[in-house]
Amino acid sequence: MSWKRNAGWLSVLLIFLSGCATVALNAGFDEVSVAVAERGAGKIVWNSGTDLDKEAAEKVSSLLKGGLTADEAVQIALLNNRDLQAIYSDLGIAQADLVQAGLFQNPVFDAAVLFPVSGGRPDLDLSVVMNFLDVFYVPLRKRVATARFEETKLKVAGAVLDFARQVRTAFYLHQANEQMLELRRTVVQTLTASLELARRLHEAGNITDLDFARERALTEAARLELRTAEMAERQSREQLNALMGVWGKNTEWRTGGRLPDIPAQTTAGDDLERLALSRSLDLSIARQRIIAAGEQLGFNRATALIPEPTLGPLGEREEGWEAGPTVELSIPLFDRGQARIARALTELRRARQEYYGLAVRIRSVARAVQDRMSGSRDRALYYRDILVPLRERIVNEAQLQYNAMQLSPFELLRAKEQQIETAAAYIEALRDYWLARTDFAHILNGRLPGLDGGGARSEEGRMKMNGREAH
Amino acid sequence: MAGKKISRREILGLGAVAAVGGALWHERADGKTHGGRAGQYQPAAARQKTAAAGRVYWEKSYSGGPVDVKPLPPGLPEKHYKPVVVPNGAALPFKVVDGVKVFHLIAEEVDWAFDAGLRAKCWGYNGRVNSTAIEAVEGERIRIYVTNRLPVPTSVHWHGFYLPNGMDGVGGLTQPYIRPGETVKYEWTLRQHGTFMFHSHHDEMTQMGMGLIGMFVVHPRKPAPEYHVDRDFSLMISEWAIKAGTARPNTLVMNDFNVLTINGKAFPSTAPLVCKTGDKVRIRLGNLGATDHHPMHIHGYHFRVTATDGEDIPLSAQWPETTVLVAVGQTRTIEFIADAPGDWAFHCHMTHHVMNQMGHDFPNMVGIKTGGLDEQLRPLLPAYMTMGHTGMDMGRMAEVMPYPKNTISMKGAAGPFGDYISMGGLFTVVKVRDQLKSYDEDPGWYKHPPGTVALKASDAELRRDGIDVNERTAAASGAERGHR
Ligand SMILES: [Cu+2]
Repeated sequence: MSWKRNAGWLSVLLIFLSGCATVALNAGFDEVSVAVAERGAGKIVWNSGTDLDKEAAEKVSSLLKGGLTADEAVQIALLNNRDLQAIYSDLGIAQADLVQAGLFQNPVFDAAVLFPVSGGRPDLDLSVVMNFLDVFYVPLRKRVATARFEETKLKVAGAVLDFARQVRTAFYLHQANEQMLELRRTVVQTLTASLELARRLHEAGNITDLDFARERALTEAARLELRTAEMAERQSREQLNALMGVWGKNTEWRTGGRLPDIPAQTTAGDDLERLALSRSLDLSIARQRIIAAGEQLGFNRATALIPEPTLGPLGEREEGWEAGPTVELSIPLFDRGQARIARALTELRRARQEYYGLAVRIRSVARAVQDRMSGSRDRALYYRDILVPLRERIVNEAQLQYNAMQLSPFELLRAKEQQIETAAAYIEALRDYWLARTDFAHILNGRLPGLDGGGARSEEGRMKMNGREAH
Repeated sequence: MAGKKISRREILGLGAVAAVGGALWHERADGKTHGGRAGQYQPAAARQKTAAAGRVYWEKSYSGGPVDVKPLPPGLPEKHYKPVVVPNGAALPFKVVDGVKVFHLIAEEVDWAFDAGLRAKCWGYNGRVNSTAIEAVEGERIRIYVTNRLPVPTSVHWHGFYLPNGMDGVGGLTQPYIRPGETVKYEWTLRQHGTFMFHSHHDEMTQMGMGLIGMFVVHPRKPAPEYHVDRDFSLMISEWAIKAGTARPNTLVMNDFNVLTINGKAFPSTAPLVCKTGDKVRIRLGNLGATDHHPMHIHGYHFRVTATDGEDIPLSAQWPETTVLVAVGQTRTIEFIADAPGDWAFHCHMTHHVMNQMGHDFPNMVGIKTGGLDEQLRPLLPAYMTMGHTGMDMGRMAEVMPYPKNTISMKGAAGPFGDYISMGGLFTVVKVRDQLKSYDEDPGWYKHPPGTVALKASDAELRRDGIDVNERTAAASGAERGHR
């Protein structure tokens, strides 16, 4: 075997091994994008400094101009939130890991020059050594990394959906707060009128200081509540600003009207649990973890008892060039790989248990969310169809009784106030319905909502977006 | 026993009549004897004449003497007596069976109209509430069948009558209840005349409150000439708690009555008392309301109280009045000569008793500044209008303002001058006219002779009499302010 020939073979091998080593930065994003769109969350774009970015920015500013709906707010947030953009990087990292897994370890070039004490020509010893088992390991490593990449894609899709839910929830909360504020203003208006009447009566000497003070206390308490409502409205608005990633002039958006009315009955049906399981991203992620753990175990098993051999061509010049392969073997005397195998085995077991645990939890959450949705729907409908009209009727009847001078104007105004309070309770019920409905859609989209009843949970949402654990 | 009599007589200051003890009854004048043959009833008018000092012995007058007197033949209307007029009501019909006057009184639920726009489920007799009167004549025997069509037991008490104890009608005390569906017979001989009443005496608070009351007029057998009147009105007064918007009297209420009625009607639904100039008029007033006494006041006349539910008041004891207090459970009979034509108010003088469905929870709005109030309230309550600041005179507003169903305005009816008559409840009008087509027809508003109506003074008149309309009064000059 001539050196030349050997060298030629080596270089072909090296070139071959390094051939597929490029990293696609937006690998997997399209799949995530499709998954998200399929689940109705909206369009997502990974900012990459292209024309697409500009298009997205234009879309955002045009949406911001009109009265926002929940869907539009979600769309803006998907296009414009930078934290979400940061999450997409997980895809790049996982992709990089995958590429990394496919790479052979770089060969080690070893050169030694020995100068004989007796003098004479230096003894030149050259070797290129590489871990030849990489040829077997690389596919194994790639299988592990592929499983992890799949997991990452699912997790990113899940994070996008969680984010969309968070935006939607925040939007409904804000819409409710806006309506609350409006109602609080009317309560204050009512009680201010009541107070004015009391003031006139007091001025005329017809009511006591005590009665006047009592009337005033009612009005002032209502004013305080108005201030609270104003604060709540601003807070929820700010939350949406952050989620939609807007600042400056762009914060001057407005919502397009009131909370939507209760739609006709949605048929979730009896197979809700099955649907929730079959569509669960969380379960898919858990499945990917089992696969990854399994691959890891396989890898560990495969490598446990095999000594780590290195193989390399050796060239030695002594008398002339001599060449021949060298093999180096570690003797599995102390570490026979049992710890690595046990670890991988445990990880696999854990992944399996987590999978089953998750499935049970999904079933339970699905039932709970469905119950929350139908319960809040009933409550909202009861307010809408029974209590709100009843309160209106009470005001009308009180007006008649007032006309006949049977009822004092204060009682009439109190009836009006109670009517508004009932309207406020209806708004709360309607809001709770939309939050529950959002969560219901979320679980059918394959993600577990919290059991918290929705609400402004930005901290939790952020953790979901960035952390490993989605639940 | 005789000693006892004498001592009572002495106490009463009637010592001079000792010798006349048995004069009132033809045969057995001893009121303590109940057995044996019944004595012939002698009308009180005859008694009065034979009594010393023009009056009956007290010993006898308490119970009318023996129960088992022989009745006189039934008296007939127009023939033996001039029937009373029951405005908004009617006398109970009767028939004569074997010399006994037989009535059939039916207690039942009645959907009663107190005024246009206010009906309520009440209890009444023979389809009427408070306005079925029984009319009879002294000395005759009466038999009254009482049928109970109510869902509850009842009984009827004959208020003010001398009768056998077992006919007194106190449920549970003097007789068993008249149970639903049952018919009970009352029968006795009338031994007095005057204005009496009848009413339920079982669960009185509920049953009288629901309307089970009526007037019972007994005409004298041989009326003295002064008994004759041209108009003889029978008015029964009561009071009700019918919350605006409800349709059943609340008999649990003790003081807050909001509907006050004459013969079951509140003004303006009370029928006028129509008279011809010069008529001698009698008004019999009875009060079987729950708790309120009523000082009934007449305009333009004075009257004399000529009788109570006890007995006629001797002429020498009558005194002129313009207001007579009719306490709960009393009757008062007043008489006057209607010699002044016009529309004369006749009403209770308790001001709250001339209101209809008054609300008592309204704040005192009188005197407040109203500017801008309605404007502030209308965005919330589009129909809002400040009320009460000028008092309770709703005037014509009451006609257009939507009210709770089955509710009448607190007062008012359009009067002859376009303005509202700001009265309700216990209010009626004595209409005296020189010419009448019929007593049974409302003659309309009085046409005043020129110059006899209080009208806005003309400038010429003011000038003539030196009236300065801008004269400073004590209030304006501040003279009446505090002493500080
Ligand atoms: Cu009165």
